[in-house]
Amino acid sequence: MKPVQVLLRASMAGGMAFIALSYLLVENWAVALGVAALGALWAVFHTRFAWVSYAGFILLIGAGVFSLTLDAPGIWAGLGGIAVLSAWDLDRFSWRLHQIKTLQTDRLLKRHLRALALVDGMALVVLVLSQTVRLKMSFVVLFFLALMAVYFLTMALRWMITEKPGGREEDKAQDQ
Amino acid sequence: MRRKAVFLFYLTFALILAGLVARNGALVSLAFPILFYLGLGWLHRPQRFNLIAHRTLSQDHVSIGTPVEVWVRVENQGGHLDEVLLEDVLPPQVEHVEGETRLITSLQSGESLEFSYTIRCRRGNLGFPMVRARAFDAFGLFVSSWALPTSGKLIVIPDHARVRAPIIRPQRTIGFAGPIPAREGGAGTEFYGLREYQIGDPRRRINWRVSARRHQNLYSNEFEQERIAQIGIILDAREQSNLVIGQDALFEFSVQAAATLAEAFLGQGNRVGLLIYGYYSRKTFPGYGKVQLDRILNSLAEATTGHHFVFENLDYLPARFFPAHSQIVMVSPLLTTDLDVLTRLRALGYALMLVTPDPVQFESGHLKDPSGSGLATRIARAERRLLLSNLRRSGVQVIAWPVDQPLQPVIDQASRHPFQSMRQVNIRL
Repeated sequence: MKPVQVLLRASMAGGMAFIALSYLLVENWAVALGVAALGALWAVFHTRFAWVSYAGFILLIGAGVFSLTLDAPGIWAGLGGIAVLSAWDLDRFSWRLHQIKTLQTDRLLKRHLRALALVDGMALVVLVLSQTVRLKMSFVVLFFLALMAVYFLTMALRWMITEKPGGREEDKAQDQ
Repeated sequence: MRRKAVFLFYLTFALILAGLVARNGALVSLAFPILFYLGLGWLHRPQRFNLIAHRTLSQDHVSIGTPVEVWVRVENQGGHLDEVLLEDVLPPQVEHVEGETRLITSLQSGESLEFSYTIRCRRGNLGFPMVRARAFDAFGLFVSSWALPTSGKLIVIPDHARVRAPIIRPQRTIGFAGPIPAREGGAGTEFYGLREYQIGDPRRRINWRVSARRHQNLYSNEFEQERIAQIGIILDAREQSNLVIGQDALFEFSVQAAATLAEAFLGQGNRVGLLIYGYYSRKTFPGYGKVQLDRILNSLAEATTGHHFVFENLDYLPARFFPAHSQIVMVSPLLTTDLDVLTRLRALGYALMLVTPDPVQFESGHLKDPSGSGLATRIARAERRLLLSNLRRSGVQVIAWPVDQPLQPVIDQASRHPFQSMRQVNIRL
């Protein structure tokens, strides 16, 4: 089995297991089984339809969010989120490589995995910090932070959409 | 930026807002992996993009269906590209046979790569204007799309069979020896007439039988001179006269006939020109030999049908392009309105040959259930026979080509009784 496939399966299993575990810890067996079934469906059908990876990603992240509302420990949902994001990315990456002939596959793979490892590492650090550091904020500060977050994210999104590197043809790329 | 990135952005948005509203830090922390993912992708987005593409074709002049190998070399003169999708844009006439026209790779600064593939093409003058390149970041979130200009041109000449040229008898010929009877006495092989013996006539030319009957006079045989002729081929490229059914076009048969006849007439040493009459009127001036054949085939390779109000009938056919009393070969499926113009050309003294791919046979050959349209087909055939017989009566030499048959036997058949067919009137329903 190729390394991407191994990592993809491992990420899928990890994401599913961590999120299911967060439900098991609050003794919600039914949803835990549902999460496991969802993970299994993703693993089975991801090679057939491109949209399966999107659906699996959204539903498992949604399940993670829902587990937090049931007062499950945040560490498991966080770990699940990181694993699900990695699985989704690797699924898309392997789909792309499968569809189109690839040259320099080893180099592509190495760079991709290195970047993904960096993202996962940073996310793990933030997750550990979020579990250890506790900040108490008043409602006004929180509201201000929410407003700032919305404003900056909107600005960043708008800037990223409109930014075009100079060149001979404007960016006409369509999603595959 | 791709939809994938926008989707992740909105998800991050939603998680952060939900976390802040619910005052749940764990919920906010779920957004951080996605934010890092987006941020790293954005930092590695393609920026200094400078690719140069070169294309080489194994041949630049081929006949239909010949495999052509294409090599594309792409050189990265800009910064490192994590992931780049290269796609060679092929013209619609091209059928991809082997190899890859699109691939994903990673290109370091100064690095180059080459890929090749094999194609087969339909008739045409094909340009390969660009290679499309799309560079992505490591996660495929941000994309820059570029068209890399390349050179590359392929002329696909029409199919043309080697046939014996049909027999023609233009009134005017050119003063070089050739295969066409010139209606003048002189050196030749066919008996033309008798004249009084002149000093210098070879003895074997003396017609002893006639001379014996005359008192003290000798008579010599005279032979018909054989010369070359000027032949103008007119290809009817009007949209309304050419049928298209699915992928098949009757025009392709007309082009094939024009190419075949051009080769046959040029092979005899004649002076041949071409006029394509359709959306525009394109002329290839008359000439001799292989170079002229190449010129004509190149013109035919580019020929397409089109509609223009000026050229929708043959009234504006530039007949003066061809010398008076020369031979004109018209290749056309023919419309009923064309009868008058062709009759007028005959009246002007042109020797006119019509090679007409049969549109009724072409269309009925494509019918799924021919029995359902039997009467309509018979009426269409009767109309066409009437039209062709009217043309024959006007002195036009008609070669009707049922396109399911090869052209050679049809020409041979017409050449057996070349001028008898002009008078033949035979309408059977």
